[in-house]
Amino acid sequence: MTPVIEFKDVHKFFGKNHVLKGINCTISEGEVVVVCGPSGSGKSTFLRCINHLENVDRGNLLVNGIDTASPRANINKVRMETGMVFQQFNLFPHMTVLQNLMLAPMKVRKMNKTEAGKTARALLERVGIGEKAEAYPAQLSGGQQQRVAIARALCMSPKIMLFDEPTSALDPEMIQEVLNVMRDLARSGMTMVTVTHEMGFAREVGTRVIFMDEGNIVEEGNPQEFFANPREERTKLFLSKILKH
Amino acid sequence: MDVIFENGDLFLSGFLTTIYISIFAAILSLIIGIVVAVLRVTPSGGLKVLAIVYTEFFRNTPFLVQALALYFGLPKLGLRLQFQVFGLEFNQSFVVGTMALALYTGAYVAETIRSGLLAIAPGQTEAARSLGLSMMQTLRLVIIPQAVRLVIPPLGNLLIALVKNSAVLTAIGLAELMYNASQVNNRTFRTFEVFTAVIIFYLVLTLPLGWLVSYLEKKLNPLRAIRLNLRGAR
Ligand SMILES: Nc1ncnc2c1ncn2[C@@H]1O[C@H](COP(=O)(O)OP(=O)(O)O)[C@@H](O)[C@H]1O
Ligand SMILES: [Mg+2]
Repeated sequence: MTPVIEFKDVHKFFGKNHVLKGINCTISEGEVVVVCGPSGSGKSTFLRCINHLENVDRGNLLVNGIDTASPRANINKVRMETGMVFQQFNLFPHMTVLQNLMLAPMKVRKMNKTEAGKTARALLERVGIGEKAEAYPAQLSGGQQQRVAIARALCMSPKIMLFDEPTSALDPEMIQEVLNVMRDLARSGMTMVTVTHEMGFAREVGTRVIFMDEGNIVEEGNPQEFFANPREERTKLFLSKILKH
Repeated sequence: MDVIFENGDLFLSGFLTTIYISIFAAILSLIIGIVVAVLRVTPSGGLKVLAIVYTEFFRNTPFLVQALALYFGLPKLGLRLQFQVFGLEFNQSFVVGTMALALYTGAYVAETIRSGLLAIAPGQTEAARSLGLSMMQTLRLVIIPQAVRLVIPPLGNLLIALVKNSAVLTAIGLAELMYNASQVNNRTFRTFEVFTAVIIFYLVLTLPLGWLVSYLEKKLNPLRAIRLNLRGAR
């Protein structure tokens, strides 16, 4: 398995706040990694370092062989290969769904309009909302918006997909429609790093679970082992809290 | 009514001067406003402090005082304040009046544009950047189009206020609508007719501007328009 993401002793500070305290972690092609942990433990920061929405203060972080911590790294190249899906969807409200999907392929990959439109429509079909191409984001439900956001990221044909609590802002009845799309994506062989507390998702398609606390990776393992026999006390405490619900 | 028609040329030239100075001052205030707003959202620097001092000063002192101070102060600095361009004569009242109106309105334009830029959620920038768009592309394709939609209605209202504020420039001897009307009134004492006419002239300018603003608001904001249409259809 080729490694596609390598954290090497990565540190991150927000002012005096030491948010990532020496992360070491290698993620290989095709892995579906689920990151969990208490609020404020640094999960989002971990994820956002991968596509350089946050810069690393110390250590090395290789993504597809490019060291994003180096000042000379081509960050836009990293971002082209790395799709990201946010908790709040972050669709562009002044564009239709189709325009949301076509923007980056045309402006960044210089794809022509016909081709970008074809790709976009195919991806909308894939996430199950082909009929909403001409709608504006505000006319869609939360679940539909998040599926559009996934399709928008996929339009750039990324090698890696990052998800930051993609179902946390959704009403309960819409969570499954988004998870279904993510499951399909995982089964298609996409490399995925997902911050989520949907443990069902982790069990079904996850290849590894990472538990973070206070800026450290406390424990990691394959989902079966991780849920059945957590080793660390902090992990047990955390799991007992979230699995009750 | 005859008093209006007998002095029709005075009313008309005042009306035209009001229009001219409004156009010049509006363009100038927009330029000032954009520059100052950009300076204010950038991280730091001496220019940012200057931008803050400018907006606070012009928003917190009376426009009449600013206009008089500029009118009597600028000539003392030895500036040339009369121009002749393409055979058109711009006297000192007109030049200083345009500057005063633009500086005063520009402070409000800057604040409006600044709040428009800040109102776009940081998530929009992050989404655009995560797709590989450059900072310039993000500004041009994602942030500015949304900020413009937010900012058009309040800027339209500022334009209407600018037209009305031009009447204050009567105090520095600018022969605009209000000034010329006062001349007619002083001569004829037909106060009621004269100022009714003045009010109508101002409404002829400001009401269509108001309509234009709400038209643009609908056109630029498809979602709002869609919602309005839906409501109309039901
Ligand atoms: N942009 C930021 N500026 C300052 N502090 C931040 C910023 N983003 C996150 N933090 C801080 O970093 C810590 C970790 O945050 P985050 O990675 O969002 O945690 P999680 O996603 O696990 O809840 C928190 O203490 C948070 O307050
Ligand atoms: Mg988070």
